[in-house]
Amino acid sequence: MIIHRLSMAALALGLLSGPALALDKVTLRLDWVIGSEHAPIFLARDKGFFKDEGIDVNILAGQGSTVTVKLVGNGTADFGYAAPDQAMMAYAKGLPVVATAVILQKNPVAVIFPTASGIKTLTDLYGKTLGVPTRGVSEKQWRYVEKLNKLDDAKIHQVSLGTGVAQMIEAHRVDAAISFFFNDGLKMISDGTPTSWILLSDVGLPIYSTSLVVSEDMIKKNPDLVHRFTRAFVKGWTYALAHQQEALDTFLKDNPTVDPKYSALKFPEVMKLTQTEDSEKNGIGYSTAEKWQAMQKALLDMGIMNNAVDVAKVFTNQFLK
Amino acid sequence: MAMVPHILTENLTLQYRRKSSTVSALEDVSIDIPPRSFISIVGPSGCGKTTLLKVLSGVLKATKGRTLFDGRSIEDTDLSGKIGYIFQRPLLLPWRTALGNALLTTEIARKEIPLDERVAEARRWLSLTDLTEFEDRLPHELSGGMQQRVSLCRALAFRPPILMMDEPFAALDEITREAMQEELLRLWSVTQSTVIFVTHSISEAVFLSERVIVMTARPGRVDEVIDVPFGPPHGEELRGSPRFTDLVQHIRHKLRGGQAALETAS
Amino acid sequence: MIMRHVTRMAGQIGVFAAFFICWEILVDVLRIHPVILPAPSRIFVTMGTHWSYLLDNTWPTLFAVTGGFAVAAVLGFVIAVGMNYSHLVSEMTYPFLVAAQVLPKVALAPLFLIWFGFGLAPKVVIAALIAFFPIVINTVRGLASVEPELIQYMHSLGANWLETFFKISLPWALPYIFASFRIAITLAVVGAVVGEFISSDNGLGYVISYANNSLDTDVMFAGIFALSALGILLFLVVVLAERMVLSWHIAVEGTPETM
Repeated sequence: MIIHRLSMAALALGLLSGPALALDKVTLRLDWVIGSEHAPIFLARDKGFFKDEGIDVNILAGQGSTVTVKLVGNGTADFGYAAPDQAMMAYAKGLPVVATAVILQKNPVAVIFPTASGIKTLTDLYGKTLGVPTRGVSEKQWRYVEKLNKLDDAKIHQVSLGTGVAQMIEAHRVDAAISFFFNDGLKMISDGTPTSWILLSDVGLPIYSTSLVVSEDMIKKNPDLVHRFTRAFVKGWTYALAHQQEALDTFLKDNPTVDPKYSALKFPEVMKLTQTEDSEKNGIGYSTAEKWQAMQKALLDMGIMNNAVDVAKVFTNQFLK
Repeated sequence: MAMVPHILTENLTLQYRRKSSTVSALEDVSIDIPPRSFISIVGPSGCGKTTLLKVLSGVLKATKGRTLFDGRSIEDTDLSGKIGYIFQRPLLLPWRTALGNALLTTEIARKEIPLDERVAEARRWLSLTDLTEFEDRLPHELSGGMQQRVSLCRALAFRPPILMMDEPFAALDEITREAMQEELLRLWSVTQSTVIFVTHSISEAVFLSERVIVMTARPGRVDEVIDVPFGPPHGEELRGSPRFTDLVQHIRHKLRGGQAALETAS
Repeated sequence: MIMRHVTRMAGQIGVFAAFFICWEILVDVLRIHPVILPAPSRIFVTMGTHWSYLLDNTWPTLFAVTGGFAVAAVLGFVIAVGMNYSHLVSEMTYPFLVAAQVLPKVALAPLFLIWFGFGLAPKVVIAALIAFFPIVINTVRGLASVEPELIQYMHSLGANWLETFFKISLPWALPYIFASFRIAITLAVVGAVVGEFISSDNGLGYVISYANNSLDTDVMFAGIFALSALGILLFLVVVLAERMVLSWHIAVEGTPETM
């Protein structure tokens, strides 16, 4: 609250004191701990894309999309990089958070398993032990996928598994598990275990993934800042897509403690998730009302959302260019 | 009742090291304790009274000299279950009633006696010390003097041949103390154990015992052994009588002199 | 006597009531959004509508807590006795004890999953690990506090180690042990919940983290309130047990009655 107020005061001062010199100081709260999937954001900062738009950004690690969305809705963080379904749920509950750029358009949640297990389709999970994260909405997403694919729930031995997916699979405690493929799946490959996965979005789950979010309040009060920030943010991703090695190298330099082998495996896979027909035609971050509707319907069917919202309010493409 | 031994010490010395020097807690202590006698050990603090008690009960070992029980060395004597103690603090078990506390010693050392007999014995001693109506009270519900009486019962209930008492009445007020002294003498006449009584009160020592061992400090030595000439009864009249006060004065003077000598020496 | 109890309880309820009223007012005055922090009235209503869900999930947490506490009590007690009677054991165990205590259990929790699998076991282990330290410390303290003259007395009476332990040392140490039980039961609750956060599909910890991730803040707080109630209840059970076992001690020390 206070940071929000202070930053608004700073903005006002900045506008009053004259152009060029004063930069808008803003905070960007990420969805999770800093990893190579955030490389394009750091690249945008390091290459001065934000400065060019008159913005001085402070990038902070996150503790899950839920927290980030709450912080953005609350005004504690100016911008957030978080799951858009969480933003929509917040909006439905009266905390208006809006997505201004849908970056990862394909959802990275997948069923992960060692290649050696021979699993090819979902029905191959019958008779096996599957780790399902029950802490969040991922469980309901899995149930939805089961319903869509008409899976017999009883035939799969399901256990609750929130963290340590890679370790649990490698320790043979579970045969397969549901997680972000570019976290645990690639980790296992990096550790030397050939791993495969089935993306839930490939078996019918229509959920957009990590996006740039901002509070509706901020858009009303300072649309210009939101515009400039979104532009710089998306520019970082577009540039990174065309200069992947440079993006990765910059990230590793900025974060020397991360595992370089694992980061090198993860980064290109993450960049692939930004690419769909919509983004190829209209640029990274472009989302459609149709896909948002599909996502809302899925969330309503899953019972994660209880009341519908007007999707036109929850996202906008107006700040992309 | 167990046989009451004749206790003798010959040239007892106990030394220990302290910061690179040797300290003599006891030096050349030779005393004679006939069976069933009441003897007191009196002296200033630091004269080794408690140390001597501990050697006599086997808790501490002397560096030199011997302790004999009926002619046998203490190392060859089984003292288990033969000594009753009364400490300066009652040290009753707070979760047991007065009766329960009195029963403790027979519970451990007289297991061969059936329970109802042990209870009867404990009750007997409680009655002798006027505590019958308090037998179901917990220690915190009893006064200091009453607690000490329970401690007495505990020590006497298993009929030990030897009673060791280390300044048992020091924490009591004067009136209670005098009452306890008279009670002790009464109980002693019933048990006929040997009583070894440590105190720093000269009048107490003279009042209670048949033999007073006067000790001086640093090192702990026996200064004088006085056989007290007063026979029973020991009561109010004795305390006030001139021969009593004279003897007390004599011992006090002795100890004062010894103390002064010590002070000029150091 | 009864009047005193009633007045005291009324006072304590009053403090809670004042706290909730302040909260209710603050949320309104500061216009805090219910998704961020709901008002107590909303939470209580949610507890009512979800009472069956909350109750069903209370049992697994209860089992984990009592299981963890029991293990901690037995383990802590045995270690303490060993430390009290053997200087060697004491010297060698102490550094491990401290290390075990400062180790962040949250970091170890995934490892426990691998070793102990799913279900109740890892929760009980984490709860026990967090709860046993105060029990060891206090039991050692309590056993060491026994008057040495009494031990000597027992020895001179011919008592063996067991008799001395059960008749003198153990009852003497009980007030210290029960004091540590009060602390340990609350720690066991923390431990069980940590376990449920990491991996579980039941229990109040699960309710809380699931609701949190679904932005269902009302249910999340309902779970927190239920957990607090459970913790308080278990604490009272320990206090009650202490009253019964240590009636003699309570009377002596005049322990201020904590609820």
